[in-house]
Amino acid sequence: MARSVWKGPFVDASILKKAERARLSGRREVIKIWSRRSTILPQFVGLTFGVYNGRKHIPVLVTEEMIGQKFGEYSPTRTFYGHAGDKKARRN
Amino acid sequence: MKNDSRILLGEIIGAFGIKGEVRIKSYCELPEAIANYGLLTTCDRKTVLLENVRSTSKDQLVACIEGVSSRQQAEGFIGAELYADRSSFPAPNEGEYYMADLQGLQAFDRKGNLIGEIVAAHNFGAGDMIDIALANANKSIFIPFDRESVVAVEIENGRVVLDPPDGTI
Repeated sequence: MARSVWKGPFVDASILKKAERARLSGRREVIKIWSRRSTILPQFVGLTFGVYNGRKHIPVLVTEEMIGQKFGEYSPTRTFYGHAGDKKARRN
Repeated sequence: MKNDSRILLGEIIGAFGIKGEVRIKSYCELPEAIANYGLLTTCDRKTVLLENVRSTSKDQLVACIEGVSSRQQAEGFIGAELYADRSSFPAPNEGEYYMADLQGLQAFDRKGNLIGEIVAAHNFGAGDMIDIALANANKSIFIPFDRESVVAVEIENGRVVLDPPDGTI
């Protein structure tokens, strides 16, 4: 069931605090978070969060397309390594 | 570049129908692209040429093998892994690297200290990242695969130079 609109998006307060601190400091850092249930807000765009997957923190660089999703969606808890095949990685 | 190595591109997982077709699990970015690499080889160095490749599900294909016309013959290939020569891969675009090339590279920091070895590259929807097994600890870390964090990629020398963001190591 969808969350009521009048409540607004859910975000753990600790994430708001950490994001604000990182934005003010201007340092290039990975903000370690454990709250996978928090919604990605517009003020997080451009920041890199390390989202815990139960074992380690997965770096998630927030872009505009991610707004409204949950952090946990970008940090899978079961990693299938598979085979590289002809897959490519792009260095942006 | 590791041109002398063979890269695993797929695996024959079963026979399909009675005309000698096989089911293939493809590890390529676009599953059908497995047919673009021409002659493939198996573990025991048999050559396989795939024809009439078509997709059946997300990463599974059905294809004919040249010279195979019956189900019994096709069943003889079940379990065969299909390799392509690294030299047959097209050159990647600027800023792109084959994940197979990145695996096994040594990672150093800007001062030349060894950090670890790249064990895999992933993309979980938030950009490419490399998985580095740390040299001095029994664990691995993820580093974003961007120009700020990965300063240089020297595949010929078997190394990458990292400048990981604060809080990753």
